[in-house]
Amino acid sequence: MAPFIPQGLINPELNLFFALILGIGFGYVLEQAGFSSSRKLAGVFYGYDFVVLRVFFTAGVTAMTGLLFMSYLGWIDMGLIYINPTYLYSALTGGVIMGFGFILGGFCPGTSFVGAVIGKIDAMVFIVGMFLGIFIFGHFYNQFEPLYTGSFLGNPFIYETLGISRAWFAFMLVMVALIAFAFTQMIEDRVNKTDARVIQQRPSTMLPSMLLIALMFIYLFLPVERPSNLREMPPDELIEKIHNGKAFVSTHRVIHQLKNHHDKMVLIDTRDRAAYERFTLPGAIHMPPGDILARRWKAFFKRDGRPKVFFSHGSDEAMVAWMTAARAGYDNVFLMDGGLNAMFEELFIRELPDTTAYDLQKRSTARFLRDARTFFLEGGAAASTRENRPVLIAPEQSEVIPVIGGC
Amino acid sequence: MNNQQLNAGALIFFGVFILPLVFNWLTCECYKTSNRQVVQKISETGYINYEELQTLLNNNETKGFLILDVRPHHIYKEGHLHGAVNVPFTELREKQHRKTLKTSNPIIIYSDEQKLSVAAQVMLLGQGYDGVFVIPGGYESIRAFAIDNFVPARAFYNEDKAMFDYPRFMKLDPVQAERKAPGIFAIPGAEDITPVPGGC
Repeated sequence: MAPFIPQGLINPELNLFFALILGIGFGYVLEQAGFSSSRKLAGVFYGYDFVVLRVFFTAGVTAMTGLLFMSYLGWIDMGLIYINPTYLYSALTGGVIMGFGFILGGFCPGTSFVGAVIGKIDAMVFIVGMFLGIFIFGHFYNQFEPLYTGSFLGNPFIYETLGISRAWFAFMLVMVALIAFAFTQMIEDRVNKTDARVIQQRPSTMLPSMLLIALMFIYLFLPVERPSNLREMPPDELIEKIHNGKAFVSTHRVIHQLKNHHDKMVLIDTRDRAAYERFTLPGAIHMPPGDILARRWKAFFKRDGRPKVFFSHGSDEAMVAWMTAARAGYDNVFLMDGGLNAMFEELFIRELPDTTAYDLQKRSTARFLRDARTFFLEGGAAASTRENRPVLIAPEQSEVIPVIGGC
Repeated sequence: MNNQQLNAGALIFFGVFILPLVFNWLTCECYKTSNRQVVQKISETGYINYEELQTLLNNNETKGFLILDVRPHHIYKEGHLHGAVNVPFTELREKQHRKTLKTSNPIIIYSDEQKLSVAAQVMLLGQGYDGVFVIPGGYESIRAFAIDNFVPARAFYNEDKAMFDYPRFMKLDPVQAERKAPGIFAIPGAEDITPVPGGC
C-alpha cells in the first residue's frame, strides 16, 4: 500500500507540497516541545534538560515500531523506504561538526529555522553560519570529495552487523530507550534539584512503556513474513479450481491464438532463461515462478485484463507459477494443460485424426489440427512472431524509485 | 499532556497494530508458509527420481518417509505403491487427514498425473510442511519403470523436460522459416540435411 508517492498512488509532482505540509507540522511540534530555545537544546550536554534526547528517541522508537508492524501487516513496502547510504568518514566528520555546532550555537539545522521563525536572533545567525558552511562545502567540493564519499559501506543495518535478528534488535532498542528515559530523568532531577512533589505530580509513563514492551514482545514471536493475507485466494478454492479444470486452458486454444495471430491471451513462459531464449511461443513473455511476485509485474497482473496463460515443458513449472499467481490474488490466470510437450505431440507427432469422420466434433478437431500442422510447418509462426512481438517487456529493475528524504 | 491523554494515546497506538493482527489471525490464517517462501522451497526440494526411488525400495528405507498417494480412494484401492497412504488431492485440507500428514518424516507424493503431484506439493508446502518431494510421472509409469521393472533409460524421467526439439517444428526466425520445413517424421534434434547440388 504505502509509501504512496513511489507507488504512484499520489502524483509525484505533489511531492514538494506534502513536504511543505509535513515540514510545517514538524516545525510546529518542535516549537511546541520548546526546541526553539537554544538553552533547552544545549541542556542535554550540561545535564539540566534531556528533552531533546527523549523527544528524538521517542520519535525513533515510535517510527520503528510503526514501520515494523505496518510492514508485517502489508501496509507499507519496506523495499521502497529510502535508507541513507553510509559513507563512514563523512558520517564521522559530519557528526563531529554537527555536535560541535550544536554546543556552540545551541541549535541543529531544523530547530534553527524554528527559532528564526519566532524571531530569535541567535537562530538567524546560526542559519547564516549554516549557509556559509554549505557555500564553503560547495565551493571546495573537489577537495572534500574524497572525504565525502570515502569508505562507502552501502546500506548496512545495525542488527546485521551485530548478527542478531531485526526483532531482537528492535526489542533491545526499546528497552534501552526506556532505561535511558528513566536514567536521564533522574540526572535531570538531581542537577535541577527538583522538588519531590513536582516529581510525584508528573504523568505516569508506566502504561505506555508496558504497552510498547508488549508490542515488541509480540513482534519477537511473529514470523519474518506474514504467511497469508486477506487478498490471497484460500487453499480450498485453489484445490477446487485445479480439480474442476478451471485452472487450465487447452492446447487447442493456444494453437488457435497462434494460428490466427490473436492477442487475446498473454502467454507466459515459465521455463528457465536458456530454454526461453532457444525457443518460445510467438509473443510469449518470460517469467519464471520466482519472478511472479516481483513488484515490477504487479501492475501487469492487476491492470492487464487479458487472460494470462502460463506454460512450461510439461505442466510442473506452469502449475507452480499458476498456484503462486492465483494464491497472490491475481485474477484471470491459467496454465496450458500439458505444456509445450502436449502441444507439440498433438500438433506434429501424433497421427492426425480422420478428417472425414462422421462425428462432427471429431471431424472439426481433425481439420483444425491438420490446418494448424500445415500452418506451423510452413513457417506460419514466423509471420506470427513478426506481427505478434512480445506485447510487454517488464523492466529488469523496479521502475519505482524510493523517495529521498530524511531529517 | 495529562495522564489520561498519555494513556489514551498509548492505547490507540497499541490498538492500531494489535487489532489488525488479531483480525488477521482469526480470519485468514489459511496458509502457514508465505507465498514467496513456498516458491523458494519448491526450487530447493523438487523430485525423487526413479533411481532414488528404486534404491529406497530395495533398501527398505521407505519407512523413513511418508509416501502419499493423492489419487481418489477408488483408484487407490485398485493398486498403489507399497506403504503408500491415501489422501486424495481434494481432501488434502480436511481435518481427518491432519493426523496422517502430521509427520516429521519427508513426504513423497505421487498421483496419476505429475502436475497433480506438484499441485499437492505446493499445497503442502503452503500448509507449513517441509521436505515434500514428488515422484515424476503418473502411477502407471512409476509402476512400469521404477517398481515392476527398473528401466535405467527412464531413471531420470520427468514430464516437465523438453521432449522435442521445438524450433525444428515451429520456425520462429523468418530466415529459418523460409527454408523448407522439416517433414513430420523428422528426427527431433537431428541436424538439417542440405542436399548438395551436382551430378554427372
